Amino acid sequence: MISNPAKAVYMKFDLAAQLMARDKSENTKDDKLSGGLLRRMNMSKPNGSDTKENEPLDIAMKYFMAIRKERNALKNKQDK
Amino acid sequence: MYENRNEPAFDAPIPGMSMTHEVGGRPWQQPAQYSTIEEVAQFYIGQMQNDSFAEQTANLLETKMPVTMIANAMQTSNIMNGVHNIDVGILALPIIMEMLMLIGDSTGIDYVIGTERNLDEEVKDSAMALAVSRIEDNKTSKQDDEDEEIEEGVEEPMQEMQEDMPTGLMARRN
Repeated sequence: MISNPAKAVYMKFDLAAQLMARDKSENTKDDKLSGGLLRRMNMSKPNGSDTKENEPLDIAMKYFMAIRKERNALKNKQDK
Repeated sequence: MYENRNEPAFDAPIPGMSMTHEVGGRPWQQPAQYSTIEEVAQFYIGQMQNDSFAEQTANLLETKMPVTMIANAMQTSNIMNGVHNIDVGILALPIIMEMLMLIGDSTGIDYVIGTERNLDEEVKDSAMALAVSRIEDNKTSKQDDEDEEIEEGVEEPMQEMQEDMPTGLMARRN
């Protein structure tokens, strides 16, 4: 029995957000290394993310990431 | 559940208490006010941007109340009031927690998230496991000793019997 669901759900979202952030940073590194062909191929790919974005989990993740971004910006501001 | 209690629980719900009202008469028995995660997220974010809410949250966070507990209480009460259903509430939990932490960060409070590892409990668990394994070892060693004693006890008369057995060719045998 889960005593506090908030803990379990938050830990999963936190891990997913960290993985997504890492993936994004790795992709940007690849973009810098690769030439223009790969970038053009990626741009010409059919975008199937429109249907995926409608999933409730993705929407929740989008909100979560947006608030986290704001938190990180606030932290950076406070550190400076 | 109530077998090991020393005193009777008078504040527990009476069996059938949930059926004392007409079906659909309670807010949680009605269709939820918000059914999508977008609506629910906007509801919570809008509610939390209120200054009085931020003040109350800051006071709670200062008392070292975990963010997980506050978020859970918020979403449970809203389920009870028929604002949203449980599924959407679970999905909204990380958003609520992140918003609470944003309030905590903006007010400069050193808050407790509630996802931290409780090292004391972990140590207790490992100590318990060690104690249980020691007890089991002791049990098995005791059993081995008892078995050996029994075996020795059986063997002794056999040896005597063997000693008493006649060995000569002309000796009487039973």
